Amino acid sequence: MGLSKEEIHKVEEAFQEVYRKEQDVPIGTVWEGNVMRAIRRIDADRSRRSSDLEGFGPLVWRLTAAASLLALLLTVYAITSEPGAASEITRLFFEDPLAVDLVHSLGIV
Amino acid sequence: MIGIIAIRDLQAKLQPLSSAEQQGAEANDDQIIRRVLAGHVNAFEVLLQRYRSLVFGIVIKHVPPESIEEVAQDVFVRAYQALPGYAAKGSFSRWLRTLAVRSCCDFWRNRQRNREIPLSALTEEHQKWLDEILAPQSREKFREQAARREAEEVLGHALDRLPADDRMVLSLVHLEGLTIREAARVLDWGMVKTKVRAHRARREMRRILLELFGGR
Repeated sequence: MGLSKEEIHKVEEAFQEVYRKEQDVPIGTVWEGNVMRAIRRIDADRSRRSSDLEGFGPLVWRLTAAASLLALLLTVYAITSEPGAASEITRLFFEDPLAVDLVHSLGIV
Repeated sequence: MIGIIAIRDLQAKLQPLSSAEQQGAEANDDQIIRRVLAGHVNAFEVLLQRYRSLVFGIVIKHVPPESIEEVAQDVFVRAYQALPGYAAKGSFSRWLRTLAVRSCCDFWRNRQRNREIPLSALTEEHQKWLDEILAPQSREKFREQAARREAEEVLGHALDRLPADDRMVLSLVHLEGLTIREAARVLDWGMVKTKVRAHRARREMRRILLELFGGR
């Protein structure tokens, strides 16, 4: 036999009683110290990360300048060296696409 | 040293005021939060001392005794981490209460994900408790029966079978007696969602009870 509606209601009432009952809790005197230690650790990690980023900041700008210079040099080199080579391969490809594959164009075969 | 202290006596029996608390005792929460955000991490201790009993009062209701301190610590660590996002729109205590409830909810979610909750069957003692609680008796006797260890265990059995969110909303609304509006605020949910979930959780709880005691 299961529980009737009234019986379920009674069990629920008992649950409310037990839930609202005052409970004892073990409070360690070290608890507060542990929390503050955890928080200080988070703060220290945060500070270390931000100082790492601060050190990385000027380096990023210096690298940006170097990368821009390198890109410029490569562009100049690409323009000045063998200007007809790329267009020659393109022309051959359109004329006979099967004969000009990547292997040929790289000069491996 | 660990002592057993009744929750109502927490405030009185905890350690005397530390220097951090003495410095910040007069300051309001927003002033302290501004100090913490400005890099004075020790100022957080004032908030910790001011609100530890509030947080313990919530956590003690929702997690097993062996996990209370751990979850309470998690609440304050989360609060510290989320402090830059705290916009001081409402009160700090309300914000902290929501964090505490959320931490309890996450605790059960993690337990269920890791399948740490044993779904054992009820014993003969539990069945006996049920028979006694259902028998006609005076209010006083009923309260005595409800205060028994078996009552806690049966409630635990039933709650363990509920999903974490349902468990929290049921505890807040049907066991603790919060209104839908209060529960919605604490859970940081909408009113409709809270109402629907509370109703569904209660229905589920009744189904579980029928399942647990169906064969009696």
